[in-house]
Amino acid sequence: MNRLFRCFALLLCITILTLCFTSCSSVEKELKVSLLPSASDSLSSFLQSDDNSELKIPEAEGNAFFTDSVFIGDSVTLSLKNYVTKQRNNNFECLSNAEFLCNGSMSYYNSTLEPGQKDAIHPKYQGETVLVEDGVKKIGAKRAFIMLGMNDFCLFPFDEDIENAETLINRIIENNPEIEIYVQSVTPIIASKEHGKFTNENVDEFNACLIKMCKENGWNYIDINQNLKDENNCLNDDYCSDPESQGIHLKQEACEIWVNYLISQF
Amino acid sequence: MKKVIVLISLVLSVFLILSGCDRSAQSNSIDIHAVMDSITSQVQMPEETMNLTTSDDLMDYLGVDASLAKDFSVVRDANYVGTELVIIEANDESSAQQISEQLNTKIAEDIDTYQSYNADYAYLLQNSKVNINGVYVSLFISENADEIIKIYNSNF
Repeated sequence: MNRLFRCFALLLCITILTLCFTSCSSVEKELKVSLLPSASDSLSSFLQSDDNSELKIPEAEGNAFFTDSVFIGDSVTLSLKNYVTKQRNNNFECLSNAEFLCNGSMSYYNSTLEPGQKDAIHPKYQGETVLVEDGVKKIGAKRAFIMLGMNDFCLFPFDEDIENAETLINRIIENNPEIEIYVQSVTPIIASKEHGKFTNENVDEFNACLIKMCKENGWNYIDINQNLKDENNCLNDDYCSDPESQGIHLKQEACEIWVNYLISQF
Repeated sequence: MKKVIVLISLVLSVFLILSGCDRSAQSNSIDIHAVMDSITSQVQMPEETMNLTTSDDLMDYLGVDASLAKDFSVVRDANYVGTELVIIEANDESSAQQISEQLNTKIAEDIDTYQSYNADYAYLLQNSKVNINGVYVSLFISENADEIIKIYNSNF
């Protein structure tokens, strides 16, 4: 009986040990699965990532001018926001602490419509949809850099567009009396995407109206187009991120030119 | 002698049972950054991408309250809008539900904004889906969403 019990005990021990080893080996497999990709891929992604190379650091001088500034714009400014965010996340100073109030397809016209009204487009600030003038106040901005008009100049006569621009800017000033206004030019279009009224000639004419508006109201105007255009007065194809679709949005390289130009002006 | 063997057997059995429980819990746990690396290395990504790394980014770009999240990994198209891959580890299942609702709100608003303006992007948004798996919330806005979801699900 004792011998039988010993045999049983021995078998039980072997079984338990086997189970233990199986368990250990299984845990080890799981660790390999979860650790190997992070070890190998993180190095390769670090080496390959354009987060860590290519993009040059904007010069530090002039960044301070943009402290407590806000950039207001449409999808073109969204590209700028992405560039600035990327630089900051890589610990590079970029336009100081400037914030962004932008949304795709936002225009001088649709940003002045009441929230909920048909066609109204407003930016978001801290997760909440806000009127531009209220967003500027919440940010406490001292300077507003506005780039709108790409979604205006084909829809209405230029004088209506300018009226809408003045409406928006005056609302910003009413809500933020100390604010300095900087209107930026509407950016160019690549040659292959010009059509109907959507031409670089009209972009230039519209920008001329913006310049006149700024002179009459004592607002600042910044022409950021000169370094983005090719010899044919169109957006340089090399700077366009969507040459097959809209032909207006900017690559990160072009945003770098934009930022460096802004910094160089102040 | 018998008592000692029985005691050892009992201790080992309890240990094994507890190890088993621990392993089953671990099998639902993933390293979200490793998973994202795995996805981005296997799927064609936009020419220029960016990572969202701060709590402000999470609110600013996705409308998600970062206090609900333990960790997150977000890779998106840097040039404009398009591909956006989101994996968020929530604090708990209730937080995961709230994050899911916030992401769904963001998608609905963006569809409204872009459907008359950028149909390709609106289509991607309409075909995207927020998914909850335990405490993990994912959203893959991409032309390769099906492939990405397969890779993502293989980690659970």
